[in-house]
Amino acid sequence: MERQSQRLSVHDLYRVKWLIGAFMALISVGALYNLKTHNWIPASVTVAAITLCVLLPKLYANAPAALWKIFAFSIVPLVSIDIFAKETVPALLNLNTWLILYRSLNHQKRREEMQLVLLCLFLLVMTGMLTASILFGLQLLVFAGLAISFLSIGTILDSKSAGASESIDPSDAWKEHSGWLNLAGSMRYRNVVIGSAMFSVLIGIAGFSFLFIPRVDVENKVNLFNMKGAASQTGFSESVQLGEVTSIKNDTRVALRVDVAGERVVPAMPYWRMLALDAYSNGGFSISPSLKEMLDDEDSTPYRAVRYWKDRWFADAPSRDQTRDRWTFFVEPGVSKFLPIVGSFKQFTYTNLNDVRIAPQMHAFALKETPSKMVSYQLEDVDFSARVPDVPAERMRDLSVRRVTNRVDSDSPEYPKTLLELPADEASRAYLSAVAREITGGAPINALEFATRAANYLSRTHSYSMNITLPPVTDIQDPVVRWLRSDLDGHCEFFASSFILLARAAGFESRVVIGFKGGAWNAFENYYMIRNSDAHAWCEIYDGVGNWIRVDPTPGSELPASPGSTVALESQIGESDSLAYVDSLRMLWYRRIVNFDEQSQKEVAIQLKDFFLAYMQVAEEWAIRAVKQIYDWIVAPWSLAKLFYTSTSLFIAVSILLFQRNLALNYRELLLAPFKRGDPIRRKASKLLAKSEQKRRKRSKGTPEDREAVISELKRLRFGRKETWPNPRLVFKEARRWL
Amino acid sequence: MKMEKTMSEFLPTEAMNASREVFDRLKTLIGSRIKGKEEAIDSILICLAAGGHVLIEDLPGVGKTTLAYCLAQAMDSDFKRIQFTSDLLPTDVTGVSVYDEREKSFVFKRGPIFSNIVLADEINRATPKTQSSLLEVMDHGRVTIDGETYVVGEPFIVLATQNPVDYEGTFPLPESQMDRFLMRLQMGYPSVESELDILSSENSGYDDLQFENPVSREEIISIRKTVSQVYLEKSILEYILGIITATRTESEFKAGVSVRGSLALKSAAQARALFLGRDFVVPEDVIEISTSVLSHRLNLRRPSSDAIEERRLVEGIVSRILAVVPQPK
Repeated sequence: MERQSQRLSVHDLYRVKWLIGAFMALISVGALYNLKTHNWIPASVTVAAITLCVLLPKLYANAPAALWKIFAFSIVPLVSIDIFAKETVPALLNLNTWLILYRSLNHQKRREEMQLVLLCLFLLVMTGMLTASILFGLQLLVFAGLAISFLSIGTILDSKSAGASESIDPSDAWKEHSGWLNLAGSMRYRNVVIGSAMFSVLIGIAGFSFLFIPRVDVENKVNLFNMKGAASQTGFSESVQLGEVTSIKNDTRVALRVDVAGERVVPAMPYWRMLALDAYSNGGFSISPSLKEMLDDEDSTPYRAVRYWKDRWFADAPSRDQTRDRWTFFVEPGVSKFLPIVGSFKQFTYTNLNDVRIAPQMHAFALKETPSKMVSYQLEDVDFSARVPDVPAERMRDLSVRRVTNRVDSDSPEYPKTLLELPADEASRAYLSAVAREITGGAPINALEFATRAANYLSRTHSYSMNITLPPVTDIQDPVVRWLRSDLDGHCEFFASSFILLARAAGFESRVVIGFKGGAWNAFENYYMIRNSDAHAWCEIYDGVGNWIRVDPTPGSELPASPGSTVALESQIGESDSLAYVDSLRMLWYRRIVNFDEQSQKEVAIQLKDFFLAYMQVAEEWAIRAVKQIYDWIVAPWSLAKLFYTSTSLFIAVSILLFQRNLALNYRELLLAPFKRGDPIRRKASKLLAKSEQKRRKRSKGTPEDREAVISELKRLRFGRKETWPNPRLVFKEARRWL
Repeated sequence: MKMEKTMSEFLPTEAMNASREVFDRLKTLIGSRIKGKEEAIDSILICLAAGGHVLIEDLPGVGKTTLAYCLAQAMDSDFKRIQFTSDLLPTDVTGVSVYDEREKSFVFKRGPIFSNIVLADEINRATPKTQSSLLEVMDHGRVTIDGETYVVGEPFIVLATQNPVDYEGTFPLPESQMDRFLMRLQMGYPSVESELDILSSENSGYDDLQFENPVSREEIISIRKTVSQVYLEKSILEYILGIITATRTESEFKAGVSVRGSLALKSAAQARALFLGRDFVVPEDVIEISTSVLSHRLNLRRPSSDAIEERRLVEGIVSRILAVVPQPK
């Protein structure tokens, strides 16, 4: 984008740049008028001053330099008024306005140009953020064009003046000024048109893409670590058909990370329980409609949880009990709306409890909808025993009796009858009760005993396999019963479903549980990585006395209600390959951004404040005491000795100050001399020489003779033999007079 | 007090004034005959003061010989001109021992080299054998013939000329010979005004040239002594070394500048400082003389067929080095 013209001289370009800078300032300061409550005086003064200068450039050019210096100093009191009013944002805006006024009328060097652009941009963005109006977009657009041309003219000016653009004398530049119209007339517009056209094309492309590119959920798409992009990870919803859980077995992405803090032992094989399903129909389990309705009910917020669990606490901040162990869960986006838990617990911590729904009968916890970003929550004092407490169905009935009774759907049974639901066809039922009788042996046994025997029965008759084929439909229609009757291999869902149907046929209430089993231990940051491929289905059987006991009928699992072997945290052998390392970085990030514990932050802040205040007080006392001592000393009667002491001290102080006049180097240079290389006098001479070189370039008019003499003396100080040096003090003094 | 004590170490003001006076006189004398060539005259005087030899490389007829002759006359010293040709023998330059019938012994007949100012015209036309007869005399100011060493004049300066265009049947100077010249200069054509001046003057030859009040040999010798006392601050020496090192690391050159070259750069810088009336060297002195002191000592890795082109390339690289090497601050 070049706005160059061959016919414009360096001075013309200088003035064009100045004009564009003034327009930039006007645009950004004008944006302040969008703010309804802001004090308009600084903005109006600035706009008036810049407009005046643009309209009467001769006046501006002839203004004495002292005026600008005075203005620069007066910014301080102007801004301190705002600061004393204790309003930060208006003070910042006013400071910015005054600085823009100063800088837009005084910019010579490249860094000053950059300052002007940044100041204007800052003010514009600030007002834009405060107003969020559509006008802001327009202003920013115009500003962008102006800023680009401002900076490119600066560059052209630099190249045209052979790098000496910073030393253009403004008074020379303005001397040739004969009105803006004349200047505009002498411009060649081809480049301006090309530049504007390019800018418009840019705007056009940006606008087009803004209008027509499909909207994306930025939060979900731009994920710091999830470069693979989140494909939908279905598998855990309110209903599960046979094979659904297993279908994600090939997905090795991490679905859940569990950070275990303050815990010495962990279960050898943890089960990450997500939801339990009771209703059965033709090979598929689902949450019975009444429970599902309950889940969507307003009454199922965690705030009502005390109705179901007396000793359980839901909160948005962790408890102060430091003895508890804490399990922090980080669930990846899109996994499920149900939150995995490891077992029963004392406290559930989630920052926004309003989004949480509880299903007490199922002992499940869910969000309102499947989250699109990472979800984290914390459990305290987790119970590893393979049982979760039962919540009697009656309590639910009390709450939502109206809705439940309003439902006229007598075909399907209601909870808790669904816990005993069996396949619809008679042949299946008959086969199931036959097998159940075979397991029980006809005698009444308790649920635990039945579970053990049934699991053993299943693992005797079937093996585990991921490749399954179902036997053809004969008299029995139900797919699970068909599989049960065959000797085919199957996966966890077949085992779990078969177990449930057998238990129900034997009269035990039972349900399917969906979640994850196991998971890999990440040895880098010490946490569990649970992948989608760890998805698993198992069962829970009601023991009749208030507990649901976990039964995993899949071969190779623990026996039901076995003590639940645990393993020491230190002895966990985990993954430590490079993939695990990359994953551990993510965990570090999560730990950092997820802070459940605001309390500790507050404590640190308070401690800091106390510390600071205490020391402030000490310093204040010390200052008061010191002042008082000095005062006492002065008002005390004066003796001759005291008078002598005072005058001597004063004399020494003054002479130290005056002594500098007789030194070639000032105190600062003397102090710094030991820390720098080379002779300090030579260095100072060289500095002055460089300065004189600059000045010479700036003023190419004939230099007076004595100036040359000073420069040659400086050169002697710099390069000459020390013995032939002139008095450095006099030379430096003379040099400073000329420079 | 202090001044007196350290008098021997540094330049006394009298020596400074004397050398300034000598320089002024030489400049006026030569300038009265050579018009519009102040730069070449200054360079030659700097060489003279530094005790070096000069190679003037330019087209015929631009005043090389006139300049050399004027210098010789202005110095009140011996001047010999040797026209180098392909059949010139070393003895034609240095001299030869002939058998004297009366003395019944060999007597040394001094050659033209026994002089103060020797103009070696078209030096590249002679064979390398003859060219190298100049090596010893240019370095040490002596000639060794038949085991006898003879000292040539004091001061001794060789002004060699060569024609860069007409190079057929020439023998390019070996590097060792090139290294012994302090500077290589170009005369160039005079400006229009100067040439008009030359045309309008009655006598432009130099046969009848006779300057009044020429500079004595003793004065030249004392100037040379003064030059070696011109002060070089440590950073200046580092700067010189920086430039020399840069030529040695530059990939375009076959080889860098020799130690003799760096000594030459130093003494030339000292001479320039004294010539400008300073008793200390500033970076500008080094910069100003670098091109003429260094460029004839450097050869391109990929030589150009054209001598003028090659000179231009080498000088370009040298000036690039000068721009890159940081000056003492």
